[in-house]
Amino acid sequence: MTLVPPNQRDFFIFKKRDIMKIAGNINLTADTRLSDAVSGNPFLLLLLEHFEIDLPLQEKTLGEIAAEHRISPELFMTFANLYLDLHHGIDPQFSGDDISAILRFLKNSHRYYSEEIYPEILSTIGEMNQPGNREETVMIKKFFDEYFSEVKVHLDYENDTVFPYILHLYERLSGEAGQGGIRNYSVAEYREHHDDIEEKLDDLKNLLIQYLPMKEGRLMRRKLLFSLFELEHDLKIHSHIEDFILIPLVASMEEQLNRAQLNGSR
Amino acid sequence: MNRSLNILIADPSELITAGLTAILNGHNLKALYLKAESLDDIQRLLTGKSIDIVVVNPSLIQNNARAFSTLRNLSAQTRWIALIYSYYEERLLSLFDASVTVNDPPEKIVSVIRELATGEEAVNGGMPDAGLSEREIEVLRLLASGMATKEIADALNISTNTVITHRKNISFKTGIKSVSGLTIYAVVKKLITLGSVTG
Repeated sequence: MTLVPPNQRDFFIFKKRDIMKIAGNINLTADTRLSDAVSGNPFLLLLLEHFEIDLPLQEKTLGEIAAEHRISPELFMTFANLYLDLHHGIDPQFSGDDISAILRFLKNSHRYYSEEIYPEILSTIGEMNQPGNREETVMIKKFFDEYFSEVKVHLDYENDTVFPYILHLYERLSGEAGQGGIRNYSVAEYREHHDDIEEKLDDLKNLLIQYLPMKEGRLMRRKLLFSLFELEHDLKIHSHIEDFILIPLVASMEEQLNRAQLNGSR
Repeated sequence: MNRSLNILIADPSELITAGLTAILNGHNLKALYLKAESLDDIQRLLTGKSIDIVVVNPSLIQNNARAFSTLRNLSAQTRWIALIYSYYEERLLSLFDASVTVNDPPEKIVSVIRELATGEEAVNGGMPDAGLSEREIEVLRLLASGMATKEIADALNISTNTVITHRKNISFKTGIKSVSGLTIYAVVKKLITLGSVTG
């Protein structure tokens, strides 16, 4: 065992507490150094990736980075606060100009689900398949395959139907697109979509934590659980953003367009 | 079940929305908190997702009673709490499920919200219990073998509503909600064999 000299140990404790403070209850502002926030909470790395912000962050503040990436600081802070604390309040005062940043974020999240985290989970399940665990692994694999194909249907639906509709709506409102072209669709159709997705993920976690016996593969079970928690955390934020920021915003854009059409026909 | 709550706080004053959010959060009422300033805001947020509780300043409703009742119909499971800091007529307050005043201690506000949010479950569920009853095990077996609710009802000679109640209790006790998850549970607990699932 290596002994840490006392003074250094104190330094370490101090640093750690400092980080806890950042992770726990800091209120992000436009002047917060973004690297400080990320050091305190690694989940923010996913936020950066979904917004296409690359490391290193240098000494830049949250406001500077948001501006560089054409994201309003309020939107960036709202999303970041959700990553720091899922129970953080949302004040959904956003405008149509935030649409492109929101869609960029959501599309990249989809790519992360289907091309990164789901395949990673599948390969971990594959590694669990050892002689002592055959039966359990077969069941988990089947469960996850079914679940993943349901998720894919949902992601495709959003990518192919919902997002293009929203983009077109925005272009209509900002005068970039002509009349017509919007099929008879309303954001009201697009509700209650995530509940199943979160429910099955929860089931899988509970099965692994509470019930599933395994003779081998402690490491793989832990890796699998860590990946599931990572996915679950991101999915929760994802549905919060869709349900409480995107859908209300689109509903108000629909209202605006209806009003404009009503006035136009008078 | 252990799903976290969605709570909307609607008041024109940011001091009130931010203050109440902080107080509720500090009292361990874990929820997603949303803010709204007007009835229009509330309506937009209700189209997005089910909101469990709306804490609202009655002045937003006062001259919009009709719009308010439309909203209530739109989202039947939402419970409405009036947040009172001046005088309102009894008739207006009777439109809400409960009311709290700005002078109430935070504990009281928290308990009013908790009661409204969990009222339904307290009746059905109670605390999770490790063991399933024999009847529940029967239902679980049939469910895991791929039977639909109606088929299970016929096989056991009970009503579909009873099957649904058993199903809810099974999920509550085990923490597993989906049929495919419950199937794995049933195999692990040796209530059914794997062959009947993957075969």
